[in-house]
Amino acid sequence: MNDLTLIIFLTLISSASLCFVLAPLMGVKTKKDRTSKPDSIWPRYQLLTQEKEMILDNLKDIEIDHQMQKLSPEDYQMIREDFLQKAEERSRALQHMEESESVFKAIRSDLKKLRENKQ
Amino acid sequence: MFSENFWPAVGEFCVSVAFGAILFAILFSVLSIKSRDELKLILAKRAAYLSFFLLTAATLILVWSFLTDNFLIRYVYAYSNREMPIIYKFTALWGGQDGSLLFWLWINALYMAGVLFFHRHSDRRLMPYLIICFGLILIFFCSLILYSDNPFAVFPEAPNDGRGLNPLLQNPSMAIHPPSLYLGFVGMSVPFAFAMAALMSGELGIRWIVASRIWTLVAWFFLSIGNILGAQWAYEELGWGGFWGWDPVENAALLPWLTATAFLHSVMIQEKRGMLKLWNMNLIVLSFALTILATYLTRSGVVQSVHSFASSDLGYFFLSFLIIVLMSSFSLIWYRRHQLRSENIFESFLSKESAFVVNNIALVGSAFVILWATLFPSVSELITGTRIIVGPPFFNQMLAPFGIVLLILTGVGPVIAWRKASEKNLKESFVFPVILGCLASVTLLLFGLTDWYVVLTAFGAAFVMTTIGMEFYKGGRARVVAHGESWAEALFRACFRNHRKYGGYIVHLGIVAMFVGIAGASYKRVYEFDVTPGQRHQFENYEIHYHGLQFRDQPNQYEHHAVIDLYVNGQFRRTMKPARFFYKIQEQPSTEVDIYSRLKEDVYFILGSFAPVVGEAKIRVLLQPYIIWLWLGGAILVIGGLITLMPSLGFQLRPKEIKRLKKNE
Repeated sequence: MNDLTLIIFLTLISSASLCFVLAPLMGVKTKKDRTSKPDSIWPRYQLLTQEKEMILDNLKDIEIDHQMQKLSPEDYQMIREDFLQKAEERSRALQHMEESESVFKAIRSDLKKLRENKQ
Repeated sequence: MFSENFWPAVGEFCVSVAFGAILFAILFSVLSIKSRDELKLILAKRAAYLSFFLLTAATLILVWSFLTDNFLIRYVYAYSNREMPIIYKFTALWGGQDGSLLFWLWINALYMAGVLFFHRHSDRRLMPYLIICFGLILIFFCSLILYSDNPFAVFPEAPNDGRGLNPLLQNPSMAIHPPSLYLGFVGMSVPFAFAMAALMSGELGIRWIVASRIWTLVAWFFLSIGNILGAQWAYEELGWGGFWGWDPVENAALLPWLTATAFLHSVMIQEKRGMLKLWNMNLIVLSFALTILATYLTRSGVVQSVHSFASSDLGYFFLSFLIIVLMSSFSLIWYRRHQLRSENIFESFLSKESAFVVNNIALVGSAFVILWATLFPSVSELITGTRIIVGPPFFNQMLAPFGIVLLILTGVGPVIAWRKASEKNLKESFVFPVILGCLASVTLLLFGLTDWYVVLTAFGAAFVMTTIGMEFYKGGRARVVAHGESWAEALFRACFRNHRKYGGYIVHLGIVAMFVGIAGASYKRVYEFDVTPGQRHQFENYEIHYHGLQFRDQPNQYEHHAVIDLYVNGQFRRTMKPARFFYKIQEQPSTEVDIYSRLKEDVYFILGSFAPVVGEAKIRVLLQPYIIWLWLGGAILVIGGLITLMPSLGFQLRPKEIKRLKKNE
């Protein structure tokens, strides 16, 4: 009796595990299905956004350092220009992406799936 | 309802299925990289999550077995007994080799699940590589559990009672200290996984470095708590009056903390100036490798330590794993070396960049000294056949200069200018702190304290506190001038708008307080008294009045308490009760000290030998100046760490733009 209970219990664990992992193959809609494909422009867009954010944070930091006289005016100007140039490069790349239709298609499609899933 | 062998079988099965799930996750991650098929990555992620759920179940089953006294399980029998308080039945999970391996494995799976969840939007490109890296680490630990040290192994028949947990581990701090250390040790696998994922994928931009910084901070935070609690445990439980014995296992826990601290500083140079990329990558590998080395030292029997587990063959597995980790990591770093070139060069020795490099040299240098001295007895035995012991005096003498350099840099780093410090910057930043530092040193010399380490610590402490105080003042003043805010509001806003920087400053203040506590240990005084009931003894401005011994028969142990009234400057302060316990099942004694703590010094009572019938006893009293500052410094460090860390988890891992775009749409 005990062995039988154990076998049934272990079979249940195995089945539940298999179902959990293979659910997307069985047609069950999962949260992950909603996101765009990795080869889409979206991950690159995210990366650029994050890089821009970090450069802006750095700009804010050197601004504070400059105010607190930890950076000479010349060094501040030089580092600031370097960061501004990098930020501008990212902004331009982001703008280019936003203007191209594909990224917004991806975003719209993601959002549509999101809404459907919520409903 | 279920027989005793039901749950161990289920526990073992869960670990086996988790093993399979991890293999599946690795395989499908590789396939998803090759085919760029999102579905394969989704399956890999689900398998990774499944492994976490199953390992959680296995861990809970082992805890449940302890709580229900299932002595059929060998591990439960070896580390628990019926009379043990419930809290120690929980802590017994990590009290021995097999259980601690399962606990380690579970924490690693927890970190993996956390990374997969928190980075699901921000690091999709690194995701398959992260799963591969975590998966390989988990496979290693899973294999150890399944094929070498199985915590679910059972006896043919259940014994009536267990052997019980080592009495030294029956201390409330054992409920927090080992889990903190494990969270710190295992946490180092996260930045390592990000570094390896970045190297494998070639995505060596800012993402991996941001993620690595945050997760290193998490691991560093827990390692700090673990080490501080470990020192406190040694101080309160071991009954020798010290807090750090330079024991190999203690040292092993300190090593990754030092390299992680170095990384947390040098990563700023990479973020701001695009420098030290190669160095940072190496620091992350080193920090992770040192956690594996620490585990190897603890579990192999290579070093002799009060903390190590019983010697076993496990050491060879860890050594092999360590070699594989180092070889594969350095090969990958070498392969990507061209992408890890610095964007800028050092322009002046008097700059923040240089200060951070010196800080890194001091931190990694002290880690190297500690590592060498820790391994030296084993190396000497291997080469000459004689074990040459390296004692605490060697460590203290070698590391004191490193400590002083680091203390002073704690004040220099935050205020010195980036790129090249001008004469004006140097004057404005350092003249006042140096004057105060000198004043502090001279004051100590006037009081007759001439120990060079203590005098320099006083200089460093005053210097650092002044520079940090000035930083808070300047930050607040900038806001008062620019925004017309009140001082309190300006300070609050300055701190929370730049939590990373000011949290770091608070950590530095904690370090200063800890240095004061450590320096105070140089002036420890010891008094010993043979006492009979009713006797009084005077020493310095203290007086003790011994009343006799109290005996208590507790379920788990016999207790003998010496009852002593403590008077300071003739005023009664407290009744002290240092004790000796005798654990019944383990047949092992333990010393329970009693401490009267003050900011100036601790009065530390130890009960030595005693004659219960006549009530005579040998009492040892230690006067420990400023030791409380070590614990207060630790608490300040933890608060600073929290300030640095907490907002990052909310703001850095998920880009705001995603939310904004979704809202607009």
